Amino acid sequence: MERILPAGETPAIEQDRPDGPGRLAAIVEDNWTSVYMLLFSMTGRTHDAEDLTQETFLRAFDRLDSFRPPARMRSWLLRIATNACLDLLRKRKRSKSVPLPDDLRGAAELPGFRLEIAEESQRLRAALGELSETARAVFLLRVQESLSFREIADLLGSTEQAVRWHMHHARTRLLQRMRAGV
Amino acid sequence: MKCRRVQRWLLQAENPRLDSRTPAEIAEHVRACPDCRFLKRQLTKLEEAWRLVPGPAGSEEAKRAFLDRLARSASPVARSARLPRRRVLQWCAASAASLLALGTGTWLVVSEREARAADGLVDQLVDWNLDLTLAQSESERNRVYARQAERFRSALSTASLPEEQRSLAQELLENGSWLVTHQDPAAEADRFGSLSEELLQLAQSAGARGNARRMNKLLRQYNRVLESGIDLNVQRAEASNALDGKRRAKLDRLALRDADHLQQLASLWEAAPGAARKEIERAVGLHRDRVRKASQKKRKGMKAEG
Repeated sequence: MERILPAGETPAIEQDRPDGPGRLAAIVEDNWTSVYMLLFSMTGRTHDAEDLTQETFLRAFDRLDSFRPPARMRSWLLRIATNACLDLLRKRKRSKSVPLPDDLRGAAELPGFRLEIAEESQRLRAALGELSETARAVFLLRVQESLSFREIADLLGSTEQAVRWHMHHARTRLLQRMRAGV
Repeated sequence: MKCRRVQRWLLQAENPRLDSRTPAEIAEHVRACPDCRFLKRQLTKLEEAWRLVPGPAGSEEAKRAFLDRLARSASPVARSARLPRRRVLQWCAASAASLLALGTGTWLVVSEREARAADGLVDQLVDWNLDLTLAQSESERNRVYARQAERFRSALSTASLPEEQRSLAQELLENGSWLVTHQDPAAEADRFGSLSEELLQLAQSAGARGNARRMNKLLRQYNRVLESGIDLNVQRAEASNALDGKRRAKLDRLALRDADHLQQLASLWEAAPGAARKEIERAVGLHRDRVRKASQKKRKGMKAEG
């Protein structure tokens, strides 16, 4: 469980790693892929994923003193990333420009990559795009990031029971879509 | 227990694979009920399929660009007044590249060490399962079980394992407990068939992530399971006089799995680098042998009937 430090306490980063000068770069190096992949899977667009990933790290650096072990840095970053992403998707929904998963070139363009995996990937991504933002986030945080339901509930400011319900919904819909071949 | 309740449990489970946290009545039902077992398999496959979905090209490039900006100037961090700490700016400017290398190196060493420890435990558990199935008598199985079970349980409770490895290790531990109380070659072959499926899926995931070492290791385990866990038990089952309809159905299911696995192995072979193809070719050979033997047997049966 993450703890928010009261103002004025020693920033955790100094306790966590005495070699401070390299810490920011190390944080980026260790967590970039997780954050980027989550945001790409959530938005379906590489430029959104790129912008939001940068935004996530900048926001995190801005609030480093609110993080300290035993909270996991990755979970903390994923929380910031998820909030930033949900904000963006909700804003888009309000302005009626719903993002489409139109930037799915990753699988198809890998040279020599198996066609069936590429096709299945496309189907899965398309099916994922049809889920609600929260169900999508729950599925990705659990399957892609291996977070526990407890951690996901904390991260989304929800309850474990609600997370279970969203997972139920996500799995049911994805299985239906996959069976139907989307 | 009703299927509806079990299926709801599976759809809401943190881990749809059965492990030690699965309530006993659910686990028992899933093992006995083909529909619920099918759903469990579909859910596991869905997650594996998602893990095989490749990321978009350009993530690494974007990271490098961001790190360069961090190292080169204070501008990305200082772009807003939200960053009051001068220290942050100094950190960015101070030899990020060398410390980045140090951080990355440490991370890689730790990850590699964890992965090896996990491989070691799973390897030992696979061996243990195979030793159990190879043991001919109940007393021998009890001895093999008692010698290692406690040590594995304790290793599993303290080891730091990636989730997919933990789940597999847990399943192997439970399979060991099952093997000590059941001596039924067809059912044992069926269980090793499910295990081979999981190992193959994990090998595919490792291959898709470009981890050839891990893929090879998993395929070596897969091949051992094919040879000693499945083939041997199929031969035993066929040689026994206890091959009723239910047991025959289990063996037929294994034969269907052969075709499916051959297809998956062929795809894996296409995508694998040359050095990593040896174990795949061995697995394909083992499957082909089985298919050949099965069709010879079928032909003989048809001749005898004719």
